[in-house]
Amino acid sequence: MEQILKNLFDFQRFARDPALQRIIDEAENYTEAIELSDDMLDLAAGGTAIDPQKIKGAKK
Amino acid sequence: MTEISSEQIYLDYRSKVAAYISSHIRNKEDAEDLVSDVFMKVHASLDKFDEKKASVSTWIYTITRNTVTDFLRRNHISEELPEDAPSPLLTEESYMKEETLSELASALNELEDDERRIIALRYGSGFPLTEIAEKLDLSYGAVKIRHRKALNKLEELMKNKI
Repeated sequence: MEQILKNLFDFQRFARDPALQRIIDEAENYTEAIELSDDMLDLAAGGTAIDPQKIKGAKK
Repeated sequence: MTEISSEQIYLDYRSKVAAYISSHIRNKEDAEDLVSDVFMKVHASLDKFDEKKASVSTWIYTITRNTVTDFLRRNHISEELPEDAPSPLLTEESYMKEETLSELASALNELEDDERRIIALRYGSGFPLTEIAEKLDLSYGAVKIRHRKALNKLEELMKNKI
């Protein structure tokens, strides 16, 4: 199954099925939101400033 | 057999070929050269293309993937590209179709959220499980277990389709 998934997702980089692309994009956006919320918690606790690139990324 | 022209193939597939190549080849000039190489090969072998054996899309994807593989090998760049089909009974032609991608998307939507994201990040975005654990704020052990569960579920959901 792993090899089939590798093949199918590689084919996706070519064919760009919209439903599958939405799933990939959602996963990536979800991880960016976690990173951003971790940074904000850190900032609230008096930590270092948020990397502007991360904010930019979260607006996608 | 439908008449297909090189020009029409170029118009229909140029962006897909370019997107695929750019996802594997960072250098822009190399990527552009490879796009040209792909369409030269397509033009050269168009008279041998048999629609009964594979769709145009699968055929062009195969040429594109092989062109990238050859380039990476010539330039001694190690990168994980899909290998041959896992069994002689299950050839790529049997499941590497655009319909299968839609079916995969439907199957993924039946998974738990974490399971679906792990599969998308592992195979769609290419992250190792260790990095996925960090990104999802989960332990490595939890990611490994959910990854295995997701694979088992997908095998069940997809078994009639591939």
